[in-house]
This record gives sequence, C-alpha cells and structure tokens, in this order.
Amino acid sequence: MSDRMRPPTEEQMDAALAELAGRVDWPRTPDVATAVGTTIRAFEGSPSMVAPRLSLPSRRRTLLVIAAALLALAGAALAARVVIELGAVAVEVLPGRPTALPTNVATSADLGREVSLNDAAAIAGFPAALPAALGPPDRTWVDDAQVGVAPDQVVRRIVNAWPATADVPVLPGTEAGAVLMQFEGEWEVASKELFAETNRYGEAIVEGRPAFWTTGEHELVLIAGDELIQLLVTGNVLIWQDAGFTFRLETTLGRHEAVRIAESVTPAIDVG
Amino acid sequence: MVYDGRDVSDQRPVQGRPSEDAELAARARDGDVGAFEELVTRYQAVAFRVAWLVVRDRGEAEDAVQDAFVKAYFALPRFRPGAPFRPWVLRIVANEARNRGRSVRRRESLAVRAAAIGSGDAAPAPEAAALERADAEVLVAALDRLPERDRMVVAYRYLLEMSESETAEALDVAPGTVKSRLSRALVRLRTEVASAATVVEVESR
Repeated sequence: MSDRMRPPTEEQMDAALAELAGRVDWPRTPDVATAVGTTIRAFEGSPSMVAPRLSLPSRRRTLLVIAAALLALAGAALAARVVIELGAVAVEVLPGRPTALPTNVATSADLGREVSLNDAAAIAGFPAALPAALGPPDRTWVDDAQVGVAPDQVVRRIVNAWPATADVPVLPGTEAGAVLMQFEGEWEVASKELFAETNRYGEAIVEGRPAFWTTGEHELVLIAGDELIQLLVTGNVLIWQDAGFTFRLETTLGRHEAVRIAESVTPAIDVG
Repeated sequence: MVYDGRDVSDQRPVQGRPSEDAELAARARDGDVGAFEELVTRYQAVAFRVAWLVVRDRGEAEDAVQDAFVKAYFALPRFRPGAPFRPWVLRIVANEARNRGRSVRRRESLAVRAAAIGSGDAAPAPEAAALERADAEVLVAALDRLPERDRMVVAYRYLLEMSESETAEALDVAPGTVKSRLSRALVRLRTEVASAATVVEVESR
C-alpha cells in the first residue's frame, strides 16, 4: 500500500533496458559453422541417406537400427538409449522417467490441411489406405514434410480419423476413437519418444511382417512442412509398413484388436 | 576472451549486412555450402543468444542453433531473394528453440556484469526511486517473470538491439504487433520492477 513504489516512467525503463543491453553477460557462443557445413555436406553427398532429423537433439542421435533389429530389441532391458527405425517413423526408447512430455494432443491444425478423401488422394498422389474394420473415416487431413533441398524431397502424409464408438473408445484429449497416419516412403519424418520406465512396447505381426506396438503416454515429434511439432500421444500405437508406406494407428484398443484393424487395411482406389 | 565460461569479448550483436547476405544466400542456394558457412559464422552469435533466451540452457541452445542452420540451408529455396537473411534465420532458430524448450528442467539465469564506475551520481527524482533501488539484477528478474511473448519482444528490441521490422520478421508478426506487444510488455515490466523494488525496500528496513 503506502510501501508500494510508483512504477518507473517509460523513459526511465527505456534507459534502464538500454543500459542493461550493454551489461548482459551472455554465455559463450559456440562455433557451429563447421558442424553445420559438415552436416549439410553429409546429407547432400548421400542422397539415399535417411533425411536429416533436423530438430531432434543431436545428443540423441546415437544409433540407427534397422527394422530387423526391432524384435530383438523389444522388451529387452535397456541400459542405454536406443533408436529404432521403421520406415518413416523412428522410435527412441530412453531410460528413466519422462520429465517433460508435451501437453498438447494433436489438433486439426497439427494434422495438416483438412480435405475430403478424394482431395487427399489428389494432393498426396496416392490413395488413402483405409481399414475396412473401421468403415469410412469422418475426417481426413493431408500434409507434407520437407526433408531435403530437392523439390521431390517431400514426404506426403494422409491422416484419417474415426469417431469414438462403443467398440472404439475415445482417445483421451480428443474426439476421435481411432487415428491412422499414412506416410509415403522411407524418409524419417516422425519420431516417437518412449521411456523405459513408463511405456510398454514390443513386437507385433501385421500380415506376417514385423510391426511395433506401444502403450502409455509418450511424445510424438512430427515434421510438418518445414516445421516440427511435438505432440502428446495418449493412446496405444501400432506401427507397420506395407506397400511402400508406413502406417501409424492410434487407438485405446489392445494389441490384438489393433492388429485386426491393421490387417483390414486396403488401398482406397475408388473413394468417390 | 572467455572468462568463467562467458564470452566477454563479443557483447555486441552482429549487425546485418544485407547486400553481402543476399549474395551469400544466393550462392548457398546454388549449393555453395562454404557461402552458407560464412552466413553461419556471421550470425551464430545472435542466433545462439536468441536460442538461449528461449531455452535458457546452453547445450539445448547450441543444438537448436546447429539444427536450425541446417534446416535453414535446406529451406533456402523458399527464402525470398533479396529479403533480409538475419531475421529469417532467427525465426527458424526461435522456432527450433521453442520446440526444445519444453524439455529443459533447470533454466539458466541471465547474468549481468557490474555497472561502469561513475554512473548514477545525480540525485534520483522521486519517480526514479524504484529504478534507483532496483539494480540490474532486479530488472533481469522482472524480465524473467514476463510471459515468453513479452519477454522475447523486449529482449529482441533492447538486449539484441534489433529493429522493429527485424523483430517483426523474427517473431513472424506484423510490425504493428511488435509495437503493441512491446508497449504492453513494458507496462508489465515497469509494474514488476516497482513490485520488486518495494520488496527490496521493505526488507532493507
């Protein structure tokens, strides 16, 4: 009350900030020019290389393991960070507990441009693959990820969502019961961050091919356009590959039901 | 010169040299990685400070800057020729840092060096009492309490000495938004400083 000071005037604040600018003791600037140049040359010199994981912490870029190693790694006691790659999706399993998961579950804006199924196919250049077990989706988005300098270094993504039903309960934080992401090609454009102490993960088989299964809240990092978004995943996730695509199905269902849905996926050649 | 992990020789932000930048950016866009490295060298200091202001962690800031520059290189085909390079790349850096900032557990504080000897000889006006009592640390602490959007606009304009148009480009907002956001931020900052100075005053009695 009477002890409260009057705020400084605008001019005084302006002067104080101007003086502060000359007194800030900034942390030492690291020289990153060489590392940046080396990274760029490496990617340019290796056209078949996995796309640069542009925004993931470099300290985490420790190891790439091909999909064949997935089954051997799944369920193993992990003493170190592991990175698994399954088509367009990388999976990192970190020891310990999660310290800072994002709080935002995917919104419409995060999933791309909302379009009709036909428009999604026209824009993406491939038809959406739809699980017959779920019927037609009620919402569809299309987006891309710029993964390199060349115009063709773009990975298209179609996302379909189905409303919650008695058989497909709602995903916490969303209005959907199931979300299926379909990524074109092998470029890595998504990363799942799992934690050994709080997530359960393991193998699954979809149409005789190895797939990856996880439960528990975790983080999904997506390249969207030339931006990177971090999302909280609240459901159980099945990831598999088929016909040059990587699929990511999120539901609250168990592994058996998720695989049943995955195995009902067929390309939607004619969605009209 | 490096003292106790802090850079004391490079306290001024790097100023833009638009014509040279445009030429280097054009060469980089044509695949000249060396030209891009020169741009990195030119702007890594201000880029690092922007990243650090967002994440408040040196390691994360370094990673953010490195990845942001790589990302910027691959985004050069979408960079408008002739546009200022510095704010464009700083926007990428800030976005990159923001994406990482959520995972930082312990945030480092902004540090200030001692004031120059001989300043502040004049008797303060009553209205200046708050600032006279509130030293730079109080001002920094008040700045830290601002919401990020307010803090960043103040930091860009004052601490990094960026122009209004550069700030607008770097924050990806209209110049008018910079004006209004800065105005609001300064009102909040003045209130915070007065509050903090009151506490100091009461505690010192």
